[in-house]
Amino acid sequence: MPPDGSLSDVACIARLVAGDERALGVLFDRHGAMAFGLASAMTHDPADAEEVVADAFAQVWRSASNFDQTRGSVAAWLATIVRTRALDLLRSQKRRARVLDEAATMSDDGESPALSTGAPSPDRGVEQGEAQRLVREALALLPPPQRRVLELAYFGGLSQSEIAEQLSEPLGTVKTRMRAGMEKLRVALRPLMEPTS
Amino acid sequence: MSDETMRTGPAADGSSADEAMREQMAAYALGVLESDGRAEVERATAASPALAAELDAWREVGALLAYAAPQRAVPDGLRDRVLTDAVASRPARAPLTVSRGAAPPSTATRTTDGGSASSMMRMLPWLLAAASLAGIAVVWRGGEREREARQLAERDNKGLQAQVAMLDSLVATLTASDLSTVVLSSTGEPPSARLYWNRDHGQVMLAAYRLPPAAAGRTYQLWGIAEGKAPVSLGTFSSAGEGRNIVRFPVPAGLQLAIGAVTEEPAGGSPQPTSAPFLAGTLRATE
Repeated sequence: MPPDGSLSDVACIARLVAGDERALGVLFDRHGAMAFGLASAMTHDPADAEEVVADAFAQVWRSASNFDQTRGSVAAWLATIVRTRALDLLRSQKRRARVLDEAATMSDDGESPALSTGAPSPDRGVEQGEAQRLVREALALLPPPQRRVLELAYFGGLSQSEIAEQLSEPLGTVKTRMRAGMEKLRVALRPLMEPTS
Repeated sequence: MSDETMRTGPAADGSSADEAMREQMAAYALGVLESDGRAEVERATAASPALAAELDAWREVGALLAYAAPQRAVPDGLRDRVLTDAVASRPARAPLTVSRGAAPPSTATRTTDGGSASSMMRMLPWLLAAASLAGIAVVWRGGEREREARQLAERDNKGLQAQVAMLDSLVATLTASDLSTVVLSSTGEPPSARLYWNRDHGQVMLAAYRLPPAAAGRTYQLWGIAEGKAPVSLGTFSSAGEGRNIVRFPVPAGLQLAIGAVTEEPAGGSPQPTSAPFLAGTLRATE
């Protein structure tokens, strides 16, 4: 019996551990758009984004037994892998200057081309649609300076010192904004962080 | 109240030291903290379960930011490429099964010192690798794959936990205090290695055979694992690629090695393994 959409993410991981590659297809169908969207937002290049996504799912396949559901959801684990791969690519290609340039084009209200606070795409599953809605609403409620710091860190992989330099702000201010933004997001996103089975 | 002075969450009543640590934790959770700060955060969270739980929550917040990325239509063909590339990187196989004669799954034989199910889940890849050296047969049964997959689907986590319990029992059996040699081996193909643990001198010596040089920007890292505990880094090393390579490392005081393993990590090493071990073994009697 092939795995289908009724399998939970965690059950898919158990299938991967057991060597069933079809479960990887289920996870891709469920989270591939998120993974590709994230990779695209970070690399700004469709070919690079495809490379990142393929590498990330290969890592999921090879390292499924490393997944620890007590430390977060499968989607969060996958997103972390995608982001790490994208940052590796950015750094290896020495393209961070481009990210900085694009960050510098943000409008004064802190809106970034890389980050969406609009309505979620309608053609997603209920859970993903809900996650998108909550994340985007939570981001939209952040003060723009806090949101900008998080954008530069998350999508550009910039350190606090690099962000301070980029924004011409004191390092302490950047640290405080980053922490305050993360605190607010943690509260707002709590519904997505409940343990899942 | 300005953004800079606004405080929310547990740090609101905390000390300035707590606040400084949480500022570092926020950067750590986003993966952008410099190395000195990372070590500080890791020490603090290792000493405080509350901070560790908070860091876990923030890391998940960081991961959820992926949903803020504008959605893109998945290109045609990407799904096929993902599946092809993944399986090429590690061939698909039937579920792991235990050969006749091996110890049956039984929670009654669990003898770990308080190791929880979650800690065992974290150790699963290591235990699987170690068990392959200790007599557990990893059987490829292509003809029965469909039936096995069906059974596994029905068991889901129960089946996995039973395997973990069995491996837990097996590792406990193989970790008597008078054992001191660890044979590290991959699953059939070179490279292989042998790890010697000199308890009196508090040192291990690793002799690796036919180990190719690590990829650019990567390094090999040797891990020691005490029963029911997380892996501890013993050191990083390189390989000339041909013949035998020997390296020596000190063993942290108090570390009772049960499993030795080698992973490939980013240059400089990692605080915890980021990939499954390609060489691993449990303690065994000196031959």
